[in-house]
Amino acid sequence: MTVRDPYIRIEGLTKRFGEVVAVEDIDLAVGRGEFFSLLGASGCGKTTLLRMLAGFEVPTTGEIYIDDAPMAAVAPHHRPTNMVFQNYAIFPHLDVGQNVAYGLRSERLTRAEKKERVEEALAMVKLPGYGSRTADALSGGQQQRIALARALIKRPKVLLLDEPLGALDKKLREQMQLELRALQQSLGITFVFVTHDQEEAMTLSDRIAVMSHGRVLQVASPEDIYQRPASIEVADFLGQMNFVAASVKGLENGHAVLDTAGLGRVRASASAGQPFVREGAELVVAIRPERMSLSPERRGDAPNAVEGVIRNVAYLGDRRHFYVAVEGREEPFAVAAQEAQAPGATAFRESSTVWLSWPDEAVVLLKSD
Amino acid sequence: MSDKAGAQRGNRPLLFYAIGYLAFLYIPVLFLPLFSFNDSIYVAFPLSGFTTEWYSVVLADEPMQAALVNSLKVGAAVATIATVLGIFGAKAVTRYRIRGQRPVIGAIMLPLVIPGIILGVALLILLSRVGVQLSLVTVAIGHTLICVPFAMATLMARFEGFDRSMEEAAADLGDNAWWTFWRVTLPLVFPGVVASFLLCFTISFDEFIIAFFLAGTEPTLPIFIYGQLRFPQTLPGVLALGSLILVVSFVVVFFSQWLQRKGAAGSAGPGI
Repeated sequence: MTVRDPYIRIEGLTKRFGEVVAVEDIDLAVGRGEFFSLLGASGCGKTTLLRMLAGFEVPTTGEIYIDDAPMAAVAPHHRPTNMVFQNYAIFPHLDVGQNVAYGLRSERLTRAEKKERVEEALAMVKLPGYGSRTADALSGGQQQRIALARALIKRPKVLLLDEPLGALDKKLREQMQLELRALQQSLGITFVFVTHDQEEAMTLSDRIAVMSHGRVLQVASPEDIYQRPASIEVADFLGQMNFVAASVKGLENGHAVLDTAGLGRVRASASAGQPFVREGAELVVAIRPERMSLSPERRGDAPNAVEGVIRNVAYLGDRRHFYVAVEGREEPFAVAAQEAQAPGATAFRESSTVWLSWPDEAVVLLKSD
Repeated sequence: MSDKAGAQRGNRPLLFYAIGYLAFLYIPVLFLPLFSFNDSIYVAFPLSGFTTEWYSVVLADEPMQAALVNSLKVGAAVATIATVLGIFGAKAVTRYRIRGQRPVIGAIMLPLVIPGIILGVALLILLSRVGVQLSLVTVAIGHTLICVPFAMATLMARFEGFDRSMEEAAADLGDNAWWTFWRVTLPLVFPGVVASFLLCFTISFDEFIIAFFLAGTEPTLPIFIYGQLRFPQTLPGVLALGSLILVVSFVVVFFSQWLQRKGAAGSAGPGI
């Protein structure tokens, strides 16, 4: 996927700390006004990449361009970026207003202008009138908002966010996600957002870069990443996935037909056109649990179906997870059924015999490692 | 329940020990003000009567006052220089990756374990070879040498105690290194700066050996007091002066503790 109007361009970026390679040969393009997330487990290099954008780390090789200007020689305090730190980094010796106004020193404003800008920024994060409070009287959520206001008051071209919601409890985090998204859309600023929380990345982002061991595995929209993961690693990292080893038996009018251990003969329509899907190729079939369904008898219209026995049932309120054992395979398949859509699902008990079925387009073909 | 009772039983010897320890520590000190009000030139019981005469003697004793002023001057200069050097040194070793960092810190801390008499003799030889006249300046040089490690230790703890992202946030918000230091680093380490200043001042103020070697014709207070011990009639005056210094010390220590606690509480530091 290419970006038509790249605002941030990252070319061949590598960062080594001694022997350790934190970021390895990354190329990325982020569009103007895009909400872009760097998603990965801790230690995958996402924070290092963000810190290179801010200028706190110097790349070992490679270059970063923001709005076509190379950033290598630009010090952090001259970059058109501002950052919201993971721990917020609120200055404890200043009150809220002084914290928010901190970045205005270099702008040579009058007292009245400064006050207006501070009030404007505080209103943006829904804390109007908090200017005279002391920094240590703030809750975690309020500190997060102040950190955001302090960064936004500089009217940056790019806002960098380093797991800003990580320290908040779940309810507050979900609320802040919605507010962040709304704020980003109303301001039109490019956001680069670092997180290890896949749900958060999916909720917020226009596009996500999934990172692992210093490399970018896939860059795509949340939907593409979830439905059409480019590799086993990406598929495994985002949500739950059933993987089955398979070999390609044949290709016929846009479908691939595969033999699998456990699911029998499988037809795949999506991703059948990829170059690695050749006759005789060994690869991996991946199916999301929610794309599989259960029925007591074999459905007449189901193109793909296999018989199995329910091992476990997990009730999750809005949905139920079934773990179905199938002959010829050790690991059971995960099947997720929405309670609202499958009222009959409650009839499936542990150790009852069921039929698993799934549509052709739910089958994702991935290169085996 | 039984644990608690056991703990209380166990506390009793500890309590006696603590009281004994504090008595050993402070009773000799308390004799100072006691005898400074005693109406006799002999420091001995029984007390013969109450007088404030010795205090008026002190206030009229010009050589003693000159020595006091000398010590205050040296102390203030030493505390300022050592603390400023300590700020730079502590920032350097806590903020940057320096080649040979451990040996560097070790070299800075070394004067802590070198006996004062050796430092004093060595400095005296060096300065006389170079041809520097002994004066309060040479005393201050010697005192700075022994105070820098204390300043470093005090300030390093403070520098390590605060989050690096504070400084990064300042840089991110448009401040260069100087502004970042002035607006964020210094206010955050300020309680440490005050503590370092007071510590260095105190060390310089009562240091004897190095001052004894390096002082020229102008004595510092400890040297002056030592000289006075030969004349019994001046001893009560020394006691009165000692009492005054004691009171001032208490006030200073109390103030610095209060400032440290205020700093630790978080809302710290005066706004700059």
